[in-house]
Amino acid sequence: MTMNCDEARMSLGVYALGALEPEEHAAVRAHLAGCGECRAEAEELAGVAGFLGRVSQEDVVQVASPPRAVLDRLLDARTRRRRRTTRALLAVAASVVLAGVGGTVWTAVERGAPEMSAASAPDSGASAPSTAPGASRDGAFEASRDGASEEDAAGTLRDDDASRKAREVSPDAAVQASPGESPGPRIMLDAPEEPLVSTGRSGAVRARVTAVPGRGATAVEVVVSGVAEGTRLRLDAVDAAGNRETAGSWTVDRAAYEESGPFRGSVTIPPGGVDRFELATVGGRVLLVVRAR
Amino acid sequence: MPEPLPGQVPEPIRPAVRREGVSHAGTADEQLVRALFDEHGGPLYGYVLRLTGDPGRAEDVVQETLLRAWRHPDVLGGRSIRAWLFTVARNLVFDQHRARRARPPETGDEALAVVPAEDELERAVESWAVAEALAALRLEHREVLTEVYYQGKSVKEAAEALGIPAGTVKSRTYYALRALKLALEERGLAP
Repeated sequence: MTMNCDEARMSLGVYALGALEPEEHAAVRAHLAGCGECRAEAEELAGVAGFLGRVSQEDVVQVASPPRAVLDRLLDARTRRRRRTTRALLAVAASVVLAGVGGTVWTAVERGAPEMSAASAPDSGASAPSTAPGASRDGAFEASRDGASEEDAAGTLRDDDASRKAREVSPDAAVQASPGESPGPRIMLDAPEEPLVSTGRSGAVRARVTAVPGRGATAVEVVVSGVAEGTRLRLDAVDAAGNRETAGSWTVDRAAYEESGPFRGSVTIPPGGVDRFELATVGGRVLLVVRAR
Repeated sequence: MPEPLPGQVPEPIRPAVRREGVSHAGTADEQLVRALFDEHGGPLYGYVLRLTGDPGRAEDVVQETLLRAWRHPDVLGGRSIRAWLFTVARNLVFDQHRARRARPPETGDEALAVVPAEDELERAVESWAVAEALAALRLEHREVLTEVYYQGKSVKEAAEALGIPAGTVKSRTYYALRALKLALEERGLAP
């Protein structure tokens, strides 16, 4: 099999990755042996391919979708830095039942009932430590007395292990590490209330579902990735008996490789009563089943 | 203040604010925070997550690091801001680690097994710029590289996985590598 330049060029990408079938590989090599121009191109592509080994697929995903919660908290901290109050105030603030505003601010209420979610989650590692209604993560970061950062605390989706570890970090550590002076906001990682976080993955589709017990409803948030932009999604909660409730439906508003959401809704099934969440298209095609933990 | 590293990777050439317009009464400060996050949040988070192995802590460290950058506008003009951020983040991680060790019984140290030496920092900055370059590719380009390179699939297998003809896998791989070359060059990484 002989190749002309056009044919060889099209194969050079896969050639550079070393993934051609032996026969075609040999044909490309034969062409390169006699064609300086294509050889130069092949060397160039090999140089590019050499960079691929420096990162993993996961690295790329992480770079593409840094947690938006960090930005939210940054903006929050920034706008509020002049309103710093004591931590004592935080405890008060956190125990107040906060009302949502216009449906856009969704608050983590009933923060004083961590035992409920822990006890009712059967085989979860999510045993929320029984904390006093404490400072929220953001609250500690920048004292807050309104709902926005409470929302933030609940909206910060992470697995429980991570949060548990996070709390063990000395708050003072950040201060020592300052490259310059740094009065002002610092990381304080004590005693946030734990929402119940479940994650699932099927192929490219990933979802994190956070459930927080609230007054008369379980507030549910979902962050998805791996679903094409524009897809209309629905999230159902299903209890052990098979009873199903739809938490809400949303349109994916970012590219598939980015995280979309958090999308918010609610169901009446308590967090511990949820057996699984089903992420489906509005048309009913199930994309992913997330086991509740 | 950490020293800027020699041989620093130049900053990516990209619009500062990528995802969201800030027309809605965003203050200059807010724009700066957003720009910092959009420019550096991804690589920084990836780096810190690799160091800590803990998403929650990684988020906190990224947050604190960006906050410090925001409070130190003097570093923002420099070409080595990425290295500065990585250094600050690494110090935060390292100091947290030390603080935890000082209180022995509470935790295992597995998460912090790796704290890189100085020379590794530069390589880390560079590697995360590679990840960033890959992330900046069009989805179809990234997909084909994922299948053929990272998943090690043959052209035929990749074609089946992606639902495209084998010839398209080949041409797409070619164009993906060409696009990656440009993206690397934009970040000062010449193949």
